[in-house]
Amino acid sequence: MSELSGAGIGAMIDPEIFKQVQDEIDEDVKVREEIRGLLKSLDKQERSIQSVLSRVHAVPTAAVTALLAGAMPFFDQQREVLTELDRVASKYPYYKYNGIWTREIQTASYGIVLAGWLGAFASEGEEHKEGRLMTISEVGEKLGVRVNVKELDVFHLTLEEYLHSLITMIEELTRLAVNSVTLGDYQRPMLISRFVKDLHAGFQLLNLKNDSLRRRSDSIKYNVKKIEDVVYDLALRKLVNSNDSTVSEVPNA
Amino acid sequence: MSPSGTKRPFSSGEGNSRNGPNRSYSSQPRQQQQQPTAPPPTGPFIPMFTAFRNELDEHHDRRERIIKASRDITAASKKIIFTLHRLRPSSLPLSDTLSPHMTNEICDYESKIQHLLFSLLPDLQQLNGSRYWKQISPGLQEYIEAVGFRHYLLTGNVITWEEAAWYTSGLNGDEILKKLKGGSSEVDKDVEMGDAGDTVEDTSADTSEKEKEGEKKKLEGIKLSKEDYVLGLFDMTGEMMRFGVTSIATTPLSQLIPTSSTTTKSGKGSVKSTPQKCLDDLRNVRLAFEGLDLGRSAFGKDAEKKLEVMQQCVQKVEYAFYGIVVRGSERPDGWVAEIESSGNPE
Repeated sequence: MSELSGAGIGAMIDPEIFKQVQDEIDEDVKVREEIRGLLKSLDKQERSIQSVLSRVHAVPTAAVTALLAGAMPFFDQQREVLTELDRVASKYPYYKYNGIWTREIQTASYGIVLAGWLGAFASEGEEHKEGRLMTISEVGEKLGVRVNVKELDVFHLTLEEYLHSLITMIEELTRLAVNSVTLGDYQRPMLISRFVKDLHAGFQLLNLKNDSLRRRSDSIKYNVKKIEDVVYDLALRKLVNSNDSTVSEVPNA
Repeated sequence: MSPSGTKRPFSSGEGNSRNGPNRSYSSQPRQQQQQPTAPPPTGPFIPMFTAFRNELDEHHDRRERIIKASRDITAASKKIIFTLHRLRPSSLPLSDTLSPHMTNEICDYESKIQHLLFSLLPDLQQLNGSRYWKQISPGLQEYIEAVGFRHYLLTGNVITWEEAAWYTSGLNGDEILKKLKGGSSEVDKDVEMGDAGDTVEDTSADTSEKEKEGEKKKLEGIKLSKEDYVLGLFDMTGEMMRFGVTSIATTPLSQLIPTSSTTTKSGKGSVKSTPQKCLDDLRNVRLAFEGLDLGRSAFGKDAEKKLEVMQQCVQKVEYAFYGIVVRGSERPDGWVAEIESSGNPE
């Protein structure tokens, strides 16, 4: 056996290659830690944004503008963190690490689309108006990140992440439809109904595979139904002008 | 609105958003129960979602193409390994090159794999290289296992990452086939069949060479990750184990464990029998792998499982040797297990 140990590992394996592999593993651990550190502060900004925006369920429609103004500083801070994340993440193959941040960037996108729907990010001089859908490029602009990149291997918001954030918004708007009625706003549920149905029609165009997006998009119809129930309750009691109702426009789900 | 007869997947048309709704409804049976005679959906977001659909369809198609190719690469790689297991080399590394018969067989599989890899290149450019890594990596690992095993038999060394990456890049198909055949060219001259096979292969390679050259310049090769390389090598130790155990069974006892006097006299490893050399190498590989700190990523977990399997592999060969030492003396001298007709029972 003595000649065995004498031969050493180097005899048939280049030790250099294993050193390289080890270096790469160590590098990988370091990158993940760095990204996780950034995600922690991103998460904090997102929480702040969510906590401001979710007050929309409890304030009258007239107060929404002030509410949105309160969220703006957090959006700015969020953009700063995302810029830093972009800088770090773009150094590495995008899809190698995107699993780490996909949830956070979905949440960030959701914050933008919800705020946008509530009337934020309107151009100068435009009056406050609810019901706008932020496109993926608008979301990217507000987040300060590239979107739906096709070729360059850099950090960006993917189409799937954007779609996820739309579904989250639909869920939130469903809740808002109910709470608006409680607040005495009978017009907003009509607006929500129209909007969610349009989105639902859009999602039905997609050929989704059996993934999380598919499961979540399948659940949109339950939200459509919940909102319809609200519209029905209002219409039955003649609390809204039936001309505003959109029930007959789009096929019932 | 266009008639709803078009069932063609919405892949080629661009900016044709008006037609989108119809097609989607006709191609999505799962929604028909909901809306059996639904009119095409209209709405402000339809054009946007139609564009999204095209994009997602493209992604899913690409993904499936890659999965399928990866599976085919795995299958062909396994066949290379099976072919190699039919070898009964008397020395390690092989002092003779592979027989032309074997070379031809391996070349067939190899050219198939290279063809598949090359066909995938357009789908794996830039961003998509990492996007579909999970889909392509099983095939790459299996291929490294095959290439690495062959490399080991021929050279007695573990294949380097650079060389493995050269094989998996998909851009070097012609060179790889040339290299494979070049290794056996001396033997080929004696065997007509081998020559004939070669020339047929060469002409077919020539015709496609020109168009390939043009495309190659634009395409970047598949990048082999160190992860896939390591995982492929782990699997290779399983093949080394099988090879080692078979060698033990088919090597006459007197040659299997040379007496200590002959070993010390020459003082060289070459005196060792093939199974002994194989076991040494397995132990070396084991040492190298055990030295790695794998980390706790998905790769780390994967590698840890494979590490355990590899340790068992080494142990199997060790036990086989143990069995020979303990019970081998009961065998008649020169007796070998009759696994192959080439055995010489007395």
